[in-house]
This record gives sequence, structure tokens and C-alpha cells, in this order.
Amino acid sequence: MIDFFTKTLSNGLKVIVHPDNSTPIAAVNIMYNVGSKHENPNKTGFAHLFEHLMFGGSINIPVFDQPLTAVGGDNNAFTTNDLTNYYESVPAANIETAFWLESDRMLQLAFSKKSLDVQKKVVIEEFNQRYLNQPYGDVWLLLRPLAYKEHPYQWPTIGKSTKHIQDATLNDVKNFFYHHYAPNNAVLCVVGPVEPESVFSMVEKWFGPIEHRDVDQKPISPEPEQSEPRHLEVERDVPFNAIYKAYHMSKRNHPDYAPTDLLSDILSNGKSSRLYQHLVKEQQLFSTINAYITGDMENGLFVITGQLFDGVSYQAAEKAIDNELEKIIGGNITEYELQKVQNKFEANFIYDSTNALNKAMNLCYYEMLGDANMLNKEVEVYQQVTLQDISRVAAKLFRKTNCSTLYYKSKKS
Amino acid sequence: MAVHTLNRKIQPPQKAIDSVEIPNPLMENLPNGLKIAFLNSGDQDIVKLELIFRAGTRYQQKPIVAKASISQLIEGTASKSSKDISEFLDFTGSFIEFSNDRDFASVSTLTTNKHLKPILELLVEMLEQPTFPQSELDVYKKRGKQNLLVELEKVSTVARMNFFKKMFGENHPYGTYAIPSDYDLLNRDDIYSFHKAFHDISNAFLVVTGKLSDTEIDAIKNAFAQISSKHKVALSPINIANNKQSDKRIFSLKKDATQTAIRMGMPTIKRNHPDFIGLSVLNTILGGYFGSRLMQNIREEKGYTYGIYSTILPFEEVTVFLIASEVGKNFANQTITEIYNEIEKLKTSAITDNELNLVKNYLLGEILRTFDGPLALADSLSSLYQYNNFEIEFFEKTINTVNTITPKILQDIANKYLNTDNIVESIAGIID
Repeated sequence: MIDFFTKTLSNGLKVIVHPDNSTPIAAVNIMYNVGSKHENPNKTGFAHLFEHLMFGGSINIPVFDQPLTAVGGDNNAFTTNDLTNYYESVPAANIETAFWLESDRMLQLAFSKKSLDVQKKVVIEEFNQRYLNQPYGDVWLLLRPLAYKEHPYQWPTIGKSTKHIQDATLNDVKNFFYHHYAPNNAVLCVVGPVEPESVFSMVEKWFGPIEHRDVDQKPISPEPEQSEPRHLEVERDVPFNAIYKAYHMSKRNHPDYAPTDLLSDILSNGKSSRLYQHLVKEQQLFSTINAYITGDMENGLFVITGQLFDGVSYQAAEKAIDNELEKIIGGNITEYELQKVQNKFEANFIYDSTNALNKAMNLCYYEMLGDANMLNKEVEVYQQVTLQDISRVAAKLFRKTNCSTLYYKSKKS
Repeated sequence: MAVHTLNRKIQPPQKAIDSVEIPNPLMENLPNGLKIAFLNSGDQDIVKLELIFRAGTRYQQKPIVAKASISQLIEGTASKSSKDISEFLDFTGSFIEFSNDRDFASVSTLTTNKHLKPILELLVEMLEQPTFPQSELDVYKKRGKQNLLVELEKVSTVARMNFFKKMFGENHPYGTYAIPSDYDLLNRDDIYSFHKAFHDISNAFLVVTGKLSDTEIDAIKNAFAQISSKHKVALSPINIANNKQSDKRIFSLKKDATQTAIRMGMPTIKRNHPDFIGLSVLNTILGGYFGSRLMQNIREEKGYTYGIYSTILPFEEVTVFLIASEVGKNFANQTITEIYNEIEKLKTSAITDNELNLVKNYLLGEILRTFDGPLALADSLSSLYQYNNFEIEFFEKTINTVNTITPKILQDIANKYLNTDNIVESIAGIID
């Protein structure tokens, strides 16, 4: 049980404090409700580029990192399709420095031309390093637009192309800031050896004076239902053929989310899981195989990916996957198997709770979903999933017309 | 309401990190020669066990044998099949993972307190009666070969391998790498003999962290005491020969690369050397944190890369000072020039008190983070065994040295140890 205290400032900032005396370090996490799904389709990659600019100085503080480093702190950030998250890990006595820094960049960025120019280059190198210069690195640049025709999940957080990053202007930066960065569009959480009242008063001091802002909350319409199977083949200079199958699934807050998550665990979480035992070890069709969910706030994807063993045909590989999915739809799962993945979920929940920063991120995330206390109910929600739930979501998911398939072929074969 | 203006230009008062709680593990020596360090830590019901053998690749006669030998322990025991073992681990939400490097091989176990007893029984059986089934080995070989072929497509992998080959020589135990066809030659007898020879309990050290009461401590001691030592393990030393050559650069072309990987560095002093902590501070200044000089220069000023760092990689017989980055394909030469410039600056001008204070505080924060929770503590204590003979005073010495080091000492250390003539450069990708 994670006990926490909450407060909402008059400007709308939600604050959560979870006292944890098992660590000398405090985690400060601030999550903004803005991600790549909020971008203009012609200016993609912007939320992530913006995250880089948040380290380029704010209105009163020329350099972000230095003062934090000087009090023994460390920090970083990440952007997803749904949100942007910033965090500091700092010796608890110096927590106020984190509030000072985070509140100033929430108040106003420095909007420096130099920072923009350099970070555009840095992000293009990140694009190269993660997506273009890795074997199989561009998969998500191909799979997303295949699965999504209208919804903004069709591009990855890094953006559709380096061109979009290159074209970003300082004006775009300012617009983005004032439309998305606001106390009323964020959740702040502190976990560590702290007193809630003292945290609340420091937060009030630094964040309280920031004005409530009108946030761009245009609703994003859901992806229309897919009506026919989709298929794409590409050839690349990689050593082995690979297959990717993406099925549309529910959003994070839907009752089907937990059974779908457990379904992916039954298929591929751990060495005893079905796909590994059957398709890697017994039939030796794949060198690696995985099933996982993207875990998005809006309707996401259930993905099965595998790298084929040399000499295995796509036909044989795909038939074997379909066969495994048929078995699940047909109800061929045991209570034991379900109990196993539920146990695993519970154990992972305990392991995750050893880390203050994990807890802080999770509390912010659940608050953004609607209620931080859902975190404490999560194990129970997963325990209540039944075999019928699993077969039902499997039947709904694994329809041919709900699937986008990518053959990522080796030029050599 | 009283309104007073908030001065946002001034940082809130900094509070010194007054006391760092140094871990104080309980040490046990079992009659079979196993040494155990127990450290009760954290408030969650978890137990983490790191079992470390001196059984790294330096002791193998054939490629991949050390790695296969440790990782195949989980593929079958006298009473359990590979499937039985993985079912049991997954059902209890436990993890047993294997890793190995040049010097060591480790069995790393994470479980919850309620499952500790059966996990210990499994560990003992794995170590005492592994069966290394041929069918499991066949899958391992097939997968291993394919994964290595994919790995070799990455410029970062190629640059790293070439770096160590160039530095130590490609037949040296610290410089040799398996090639994909080596997987074909791997056989069960080699793996079994290596296991017999090196995974003896007298050749092991065990670190245990998590929620530990007498119940857990006794259970762990009793379980491992059942394993008998079969023989004393013969560990042959290796020489760190001077492999200095006239050309210091090795280049591997990858025509379609969008980025070029750079690995540069040299052998240097070991973790138990009196100057080591000073050298670590210097490394932090150069490339050990986000605000480091290399990161500021190459990323934040010039935008050549997403990241660049320097690090001191420990081996048992030597340590290696290493600088690593992937840079845009047109920026490799400029980056290398700047790396040399930054090293030169450390030698010619003393670091300012401001920068030194910043780095000192950062490092003290880092030390707190390495002691934060059972998982981080298991890592710290494992390294302490591997590279500092488990001298617990090393932690206090580190803190004292960091607190008292001066710009003058750092400049002397730079001049003493950062001899750029000794630097080996490995580049993979494209260079103009």
C-alpha cells in the first residue's frame, strides 16, 4: 500500500506526496499532459524536441543542470505519445532547488535561438542513433502509419522525419509552450524522506504564483475501426527476416486493458510463456519472439514481433503465430497459467516499489488517468481477471481485419 | 494575504549532505569456502542474491564456453527440466539471470521473501546437479549465432570490439571476441568441464540484500552450506602486455552508416591504486555526467551527437579509461580533435573551485544513489568484491578523497595518467 497525501493549488497544479523513509534521496517528478499526439501532423516530433529545450534555460535561470548538480542532484526527462515527464533525484535536504528549477521553467522558458538550433541537431542525431543507424531501427516509422490512418499515434515521438525537426521555429516553440505547459496541465509528485506539509508549503511558494493558463484541449477523435487486413513489405540491409503484427486494442482506462495485458504475458512474458516455449524452443521457427502492448492512454496496439530463424518461410512463421492465437481464442488456457501471470504482475509491482522514482512516476501517471489511488488497486484489478475475460478479449483482438502486418525482409534472403 | 516578492534568480540555500550512511554488511564464512555478505535493506519483501564466480571468459579454452556454461545452468537439473524451472520461476514471479564478463560470471536472483525457500533449493540443485541437455544447447547455439550476427551490424558493437582488440591484442584474454561460427564448435563436454573446473563453491562470493531477518539469513546459510567444495580452483594470472603499436587507430568502414561510432581510451590504474579516486573525479569532470566538459562541448555547444561520455571500466588486472560516442557521420574528425583538446585542457589549466565544488556535490549525491535500496546496494557490494577485495573502507576513502581533493591534485593526476600517446582510437562507420 502506497500512502500518499494530495493537494491542488488554486492555479490547478495537482500535488502528491508519498513519504518514504527507506531512502536518503527524494524523487521529484512532474508530468505534463502533452505528448506527440498533440502535435500538428505537419510539425511532428515537436513535443520531444520541446522536452530538450526545457533544459536550455528558463526566464530567471540561465542553465538548468548546474544548480541541481551542485546540490548533488541528477535529472532527466522523456516524452511519449501521451505525455512528457521530467524528474529529479536529489538528496532530500535539497529538494527546494528542484522546485525552484521546475517552477521557473513552468513559468516561462528562455526561448533561446541558440538552444533551439543546437537541440535540433542533437535530436536529429538521436533520430539517427535510435531509428536509422540500428538494424530494424525504423520499424516503428513503418508500423505506426500502417496501423493508424487518422489518429496521431501514426507517428513516433521522435517525429515522422528529420525534416520536421529541421523546420521547427522559435515561434512554434512559444506557441507550444503557452498551449501545453501550465500548472493546470501537470501533476507533481514527491517521494522520499519528507514531511507532506513542508513539501506543500514549498510547492505553494514556488508554483503558487504561476498563472492558470488556457490549455489546448481539442479532443482527438479515435482511430476509425479497421475493416480489412493491412500488409506491408520492406527490404533492408539486415541479416534476418522479421515479422511485426499490430492489433488495435483498448485504451488504458478501459476494463479490457488488464485482461489484454495479461494475455500478452501469457503469450510471451518469461521463458515459460507460450510463444517462447512453442515457437522458439520446440518448433525453432524464431530466434526471438515477443508479444506486448503499447500501453497508450488512448486505443493502443497489441504487438507481436519475431525474428525468423534463417531458412524459415514467412508462411510457416505466420501460420505458427496464428495457430497460437487460435488456441487462446478457443479457450485453451488453464487457471494455472492465468494465476502465473497474475503472480508475476504482483511480484513486479513489489520490485518496482523499491524505487522512489518509479513510485513517483506511477503516482503521477495514475493521477493523469484520473486517480492516483488506482495504483493501489492495480494488483487487485489484475487478480480479478478471469479466463473468460482473456478469451473474450483475444477473440476481439485477433481478427484478421484488425491486424497490420509488416514483413521486414533481409536483402540477403 | 501578505505578498512578498519571490526572487526567482536566487537558488534556495544549499544544505550540505551531512552524513552518508556507509553500508555495514554482516559477513559469514561457510566451511565450504563460500563467503557471504548480508545487508538488510529497504522496506519491501524482496531478497536479491548475487553469486559471483571467478569464471569469466579469460579462463576459457574455447570461445563462448564461459558464457554458455553459466547461462545453461538453468536449462535442466537432475530432477527438473528446463521447462519445469522456467515454470517455477515465472509462477513465483522470481528471476534468475546470468551474466559474465572477462573476469567473472554471476548468477543473479531476485525473489520475494515468501518464495525464498524453494528458490534456494533450486539454486543449490542448479549448482550441484546441472544436466546441460544437448537439445537445449542446440537451441542456445542457433539463437546465439543469429543474435551475434545482428549485433555485428551495429557500428557501436564493431567499434567497441575493435577498441579492445587493438588495445590488448586480438588473442589476449581481454581483447578476444567470439565470431558467429564459434557457436558451431560449442559442445556439451567443454561446457560441463568448465562448470566443474570453475563453478566450485570455494571460488564464489555471495552478496545478499533486501529484507533480511534471522530466518532469511539462516535459510540462505543452510542452503549454501549443503554444497560441498570439490576442489580448489586453479586461477591462472594473465599478463597485461604492452601492446603499443605505431598506428594508434583502427577503422572499420560501414558505407551506409548515418552515424560513426567512436571508442577511444587507454589502460590505466586499478581501483585499489591510491590515485584511482582522484582519477574518477577527473573522469566525471571530463565526461561522467550531463554537465561534463565533453557533453557540453560536443553535444550542447556543437550538436554533433545525442550523447558522449567517458568512463573507467574495471577489469581485475587493469582498468580502461574509455570515451564513447556515436556522432553524425560528418563530425567524426572534429569530435576526435575536440576530445584531445578537452584532455589537454585538464592537463594545462587547473579546474576552477566552482566547477570542482559542483562535481564534488554531484559525486556525493551519486554515492547516496549507489546505496539507495537493495538493488543498488547489491551492485555496489558486488563491485567491491570484484575490484576492491571487499575492503569496505573503500567507500569511506572515496567520500574523504572527493571531499578533500584540490584543483592542483587533479591537474597533477591529469598529467600523470592522461598520456594521449597511449590512446587507442577505434572508429566504425564513415570518416571524411
